[in-house]
Amino acid sequence: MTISSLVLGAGQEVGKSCVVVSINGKRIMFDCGMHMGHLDHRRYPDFSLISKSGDFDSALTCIIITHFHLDHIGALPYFTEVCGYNGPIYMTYPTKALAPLMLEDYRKVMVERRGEEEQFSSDHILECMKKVTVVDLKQTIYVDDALQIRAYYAGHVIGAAMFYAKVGDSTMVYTGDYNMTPDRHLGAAQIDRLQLDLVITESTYATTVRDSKHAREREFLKAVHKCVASGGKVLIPTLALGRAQELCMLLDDYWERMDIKVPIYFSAGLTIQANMYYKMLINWTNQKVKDTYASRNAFDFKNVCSFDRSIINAPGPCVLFATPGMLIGGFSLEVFKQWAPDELNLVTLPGYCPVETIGHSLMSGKPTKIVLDDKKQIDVRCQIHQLSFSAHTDSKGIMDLMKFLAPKHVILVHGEKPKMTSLKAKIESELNIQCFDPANNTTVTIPSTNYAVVDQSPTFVKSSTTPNFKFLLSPDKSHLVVSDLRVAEGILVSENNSKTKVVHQDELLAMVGENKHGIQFAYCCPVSIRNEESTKKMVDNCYWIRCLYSSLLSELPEENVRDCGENITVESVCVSVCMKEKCDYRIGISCSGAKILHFCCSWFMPDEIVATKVISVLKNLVIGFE
Amino acid sequence: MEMEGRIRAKFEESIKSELDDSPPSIDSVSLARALIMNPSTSEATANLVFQTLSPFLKSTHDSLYLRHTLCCLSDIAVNFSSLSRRVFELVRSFSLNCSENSPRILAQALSVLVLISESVEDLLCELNELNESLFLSIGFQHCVAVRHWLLLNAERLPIRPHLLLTTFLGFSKDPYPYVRKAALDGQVHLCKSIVVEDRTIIKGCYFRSAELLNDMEDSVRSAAVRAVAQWGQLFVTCNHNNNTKHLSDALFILLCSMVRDMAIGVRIEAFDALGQINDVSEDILLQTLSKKVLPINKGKKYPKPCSMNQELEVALVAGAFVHGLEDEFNEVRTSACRTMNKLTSVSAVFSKESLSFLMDMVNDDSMVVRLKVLETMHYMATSNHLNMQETHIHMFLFMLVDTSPLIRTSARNVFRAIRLREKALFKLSMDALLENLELYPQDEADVFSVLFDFGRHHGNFALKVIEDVSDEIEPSCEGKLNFDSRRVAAFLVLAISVPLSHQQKICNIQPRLFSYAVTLLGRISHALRDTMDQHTLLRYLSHCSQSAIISAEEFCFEIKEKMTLSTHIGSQTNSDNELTNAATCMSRLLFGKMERTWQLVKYGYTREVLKMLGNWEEEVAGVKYETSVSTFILLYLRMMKLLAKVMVHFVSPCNLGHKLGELSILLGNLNTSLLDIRHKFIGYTKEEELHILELICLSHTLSISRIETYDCSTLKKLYAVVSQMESLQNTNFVIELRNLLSEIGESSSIPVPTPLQKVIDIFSFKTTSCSNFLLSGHLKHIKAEINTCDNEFENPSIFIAGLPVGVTLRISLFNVPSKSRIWIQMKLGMDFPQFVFLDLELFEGCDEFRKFMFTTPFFKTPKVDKFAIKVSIGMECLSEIRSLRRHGGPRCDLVCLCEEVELFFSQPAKVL
Repeated sequence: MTISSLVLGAGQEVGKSCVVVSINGKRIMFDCGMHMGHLDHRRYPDFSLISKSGDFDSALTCIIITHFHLDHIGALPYFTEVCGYNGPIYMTYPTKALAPLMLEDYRKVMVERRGEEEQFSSDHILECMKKVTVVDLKQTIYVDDALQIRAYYAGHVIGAAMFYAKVGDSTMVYTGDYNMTPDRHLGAAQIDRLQLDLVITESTYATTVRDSKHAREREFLKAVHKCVASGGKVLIPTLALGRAQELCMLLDDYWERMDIKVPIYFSAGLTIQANMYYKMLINWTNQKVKDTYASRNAFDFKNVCSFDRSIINAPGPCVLFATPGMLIGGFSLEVFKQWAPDELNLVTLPGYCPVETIGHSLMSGKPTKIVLDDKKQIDVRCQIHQLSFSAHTDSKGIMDLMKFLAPKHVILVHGEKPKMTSLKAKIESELNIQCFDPANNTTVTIPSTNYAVVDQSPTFVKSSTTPNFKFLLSPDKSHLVVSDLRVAEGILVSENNSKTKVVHQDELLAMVGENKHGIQFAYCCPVSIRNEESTKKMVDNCYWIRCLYSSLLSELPEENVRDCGENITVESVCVSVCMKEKCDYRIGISCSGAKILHFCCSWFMPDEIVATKVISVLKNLVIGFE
Repeated sequence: MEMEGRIRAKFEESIKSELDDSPPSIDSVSLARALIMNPSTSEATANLVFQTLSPFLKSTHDSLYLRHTLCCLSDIAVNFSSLSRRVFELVRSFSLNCSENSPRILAQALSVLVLISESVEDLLCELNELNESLFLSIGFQHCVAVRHWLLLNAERLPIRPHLLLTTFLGFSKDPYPYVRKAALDGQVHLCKSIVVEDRTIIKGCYFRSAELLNDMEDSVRSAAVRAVAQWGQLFVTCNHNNNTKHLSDALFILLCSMVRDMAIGVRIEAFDALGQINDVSEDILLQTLSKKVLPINKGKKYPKPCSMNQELEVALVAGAFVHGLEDEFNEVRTSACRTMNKLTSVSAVFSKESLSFLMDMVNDDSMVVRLKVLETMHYMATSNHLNMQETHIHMFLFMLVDTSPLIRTSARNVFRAIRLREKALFKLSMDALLENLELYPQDEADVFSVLFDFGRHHGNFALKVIEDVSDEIEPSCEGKLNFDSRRVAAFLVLAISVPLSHQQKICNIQPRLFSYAVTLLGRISHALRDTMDQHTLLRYLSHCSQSAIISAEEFCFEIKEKMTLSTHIGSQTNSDNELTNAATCMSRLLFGKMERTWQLVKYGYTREVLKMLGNWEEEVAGVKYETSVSTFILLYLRMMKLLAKVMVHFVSPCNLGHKLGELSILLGNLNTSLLDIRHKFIGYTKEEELHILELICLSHTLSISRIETYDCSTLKKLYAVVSQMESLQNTNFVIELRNLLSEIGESSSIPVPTPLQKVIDIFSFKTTSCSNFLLSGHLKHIKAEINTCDNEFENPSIFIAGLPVGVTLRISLFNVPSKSRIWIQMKLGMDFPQFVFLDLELFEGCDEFRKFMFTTPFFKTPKVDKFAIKVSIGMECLSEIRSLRRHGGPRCDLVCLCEEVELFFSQPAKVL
């Protein structure tokens, strides 16, 4: 049995996440994203690799979407409406609620601003969303009789989930994007301990170890507070979903505690609508938001006032969240133009800004002028504050999750190649888990678990339900080690024409109708006798045995030496006087001169070490009267 | 009653209707149970039920019937104590003979036996005999539920700890997680109550619990973390080699590896466990604050406890606290803060480094966490580890203007203890405190008090600040003072604190500022009420305002002493020893004034003296932490009050306001009070003892000088005391007294008024040793506590009139020397009390503390439905004259060691 994963996107790159996994005849597509950096055919995953004929409905069992970011869902309307996939699609409630907003916003930007030909229309988005089945956290969904899936909380953005899939005995987890540390509004990723064959994890920050976020939060608050206290205006250009809510919660809470009366505004549009959704999706936030929900909805920001365009030029301090982020245009840029020339004001840039955006040029050095075009330029005298928050886990988080889940194999996606290679080596060496970092459009195949159902004998059942522990000393004799035999013992018997069965070890002989055979070793050891006198005196064997017994006792104090009259036993080693002229176990010819007495030793395999000890004592022994 | 009869009849009928051999049906058993559970059911019926059900216990193997019957029997034992012994015997023989029964039944039988033996003590040893084998035989059967029950209840059964421990260890291998958890918890619990010395067992338990840290089940991992912390520490301490540090570090790393667990419960446990460890290398500790592995820790490896081949890497520790402090759950964050607090005392460098992390936490969204952070900072400040930097302070200062009063108070508390190193920081803090005052006027008192402390700790900085703002304080050109402004008032408070600073030997504050402060006396003294009273403050201010340059030292001595006294007592971190010192300080102050007080008493200023003594008494009683010395002072002050009241009768005898017999009552009380002082403390120095004996002499002399109080036994007592004093030291007072006594003996006129004036004249707190009355601080207060074991008015014990009734008491004795004779005194109304002697040698414990259960009969139960007795514990004053000749009772006077406790008894409801 194998699991094969075809990486259609996000293989050794960030963008257009899409992995098709085949387990035991089922094929699941995890995420269906688009690449924001490309405008050609590379924008979408190469769906033709799934099915040459284009019959996606029979090629795929289902699609699972982890969260609403475009690099995870952007290609979905195209795939369903244009390529014609009609099978089931699964995502969480918030994803289903917020994804159309994101997709529509993107479509508008593409079509209306850049004037591109549209890949999918608004109707396509609506139609596509109709095919979606929503799942709740930890709810097990039976896609069909063999495939079950389950969502786990992933942090990252609201509604983000990791998905567990199981077909037969083969199990896997696809993490999507996740965050192992909580932020102001979302919790940390949370998953059960599962027995897994495969984990496909993101690796955006494969080598970064991020420090505590608290210091950055503190700096942010300090900068904003200082600015408004001196009467300045604060502009926070940000994405509509996620970061805006997080920062606003931070500010709102601080405003509350410090009793600051400065107004906070949200620029109209997406953010207001998103806030409304956030208010309804309390269940997907972190402990604090959920706990206080009964008394107050944390997204019901107390200090946020209704926005009016006139505030841009109104006197007095304020804080404004404006879309889009990175100052790439739109309203945020408009406000920036107005506010930048005043040194009292502050612009805070949360997150990463790509090159050639105004955000980027603000962050790299402190420019005094920003040239918009030939005619226009802005004097920048305001303060700039950079805030690097990220909703992805860092390398320590990835390692922690892998250690916790301890799967048999790991596939890394959603990261940059050199960093992934380094993480791969780390996972293999530190956690001893086989790890892959496939490129796009390649397939990784790994073996998967398959359990066999067997019968068990009643004796075995009884023995394994009754405690039967034993205490032993550890090899270095420093401490007690407890072992419970019942769990370990059992013999798998597979007979022709009947089901495989587990039996207790005592039953085995009776079952196969055989007697117990043991290999016994023997050696007839010569022992010198001190003087002739002793042989002449008619001493019986018992006397020699007693002599031998006392010397064995003194030589081997740690062993359990027992005198049984005719012979001596040490564990399974049995020593007796050999009276035969010719013993089969005698090696070589006894040397003449000294009188020799023979002792026959026999033992079973496990006591070989003891036997060696006994024989070495015998060989060095001289017995008889003084 | 009727009901009982009916159900009983029904029960009997249902039993009869069934076949002879087969056991009663479940219906009959339920009827039986209904009868038993009813509190008004008579004993006869219970007996009948017992008789009916018991034979079947032996004869049947029907497990359903057995379970119900055992249930029923256990109810009988609980509700009818007279039958409990018989039930016990029956069930015991059942559980011995019926080993073929299912483990569930046996476990239930065992549970019944344990239940009964818990209320009837002597059955416990009988239980012992069968317990261990039964325990093991049940535990090793296949039923998991029973195994779990056994492990949970193992400590109720009298099983040898060693056996129990190995069983727990064994069951930690069980495939069922709940059994594993119970086994681990059992180990930890047991380990706390017994001493394990066997290293192989300690190591075995430690390693096994370390293995279970990787268990699949959350609850098992939680339990394993607790167990690892417990056994790990034992393992480290029992290791006598030099590598203790190494092992302790390994334990720390092992626990750190759990702080990133997916389960919140495990994370909390892990942080709590880390807080228990107090010996860690600094390098490792610092690593907890950095997610990146520090260069010094690179490549460091420690042996992993559970497997020989693996090793623990220091990387596991990396950023443990960073993770903990940014955890989603405030419970984890609080626990991490708490642990950080504990670990700051391990290393100063860690404490310094952790400060910036704590500073970040002041923005936490949970109030609980923010308060914990402030508490931690306060702790660091008091232990002088809080090195505030300018980068931190802004965020912290914002806490002073937080909307929550709790946060503001905690933040100000940090300022009380903080020591700032730079003037800039001091100014910033001042500004923040002033802003606090402006925004929240309701905090005024607390802010003033903080400013006062703040100024005392930073005299030089405060001085500079005052110089800077002097024109704000000075009257404006119109000659108007701005004292009603809070800001100015705050500056004045700061200014007046400067002379008390250790840095300022000579006060450079302008004297007129002190006079300004006088105008705000009410506000300031209200704010400083914990530090000094209004009177002292006024004296202090007027003193400072009079002299231009104040050589503050000699004056401040008094205030300082008083302040140290209250600040010492006020702050919680001080040890007992310091408390005792504080109390000793207080006693020195008080006894210094005693001589003058006595003068006042002699001149008849009784009312004033009583008032003064009352004030002092209040002040001493207000001390939060009771010590032996403070108890002594309280008793002494009460005695002085009595003495003052007695003296009125002698100083101004013509006063007609006195009631008849008042004097003898007063003298009697004075006598008791002196007896208490003399006998309820041990550890007096010779001077102290002498002083107390002199007071006793005085009291006796007073009582023999009046006809209405004269008692010939008093004279005897006086002789005895004087001879005791002579054996200690011959002071003037003793010599004079001896002379007087000889005079009295010759004159033998009764009573003897003549010597009185002389004695009073001789007696003074100066001529006697009072001037040396510096308490050594070795005093120990003898006392006792009685607990009545659930006997309340609502829940009286049962008695039968005319027959003795058992009185069970839980007694604690403190500082009682083993040679002393202790009596339990039981009083019924005004009757002569019944005494029971307590032989201390029979009880375990040392002189400092003994605690035990004691059951004694009370004989004279009256013929009433209900009554109450008062029980107290008394100690015989062995050095006193044997005055009491009571049959079987104490021969000397008793001093009562505890407050009387009432015990209630009632007759059982009568059966008609």
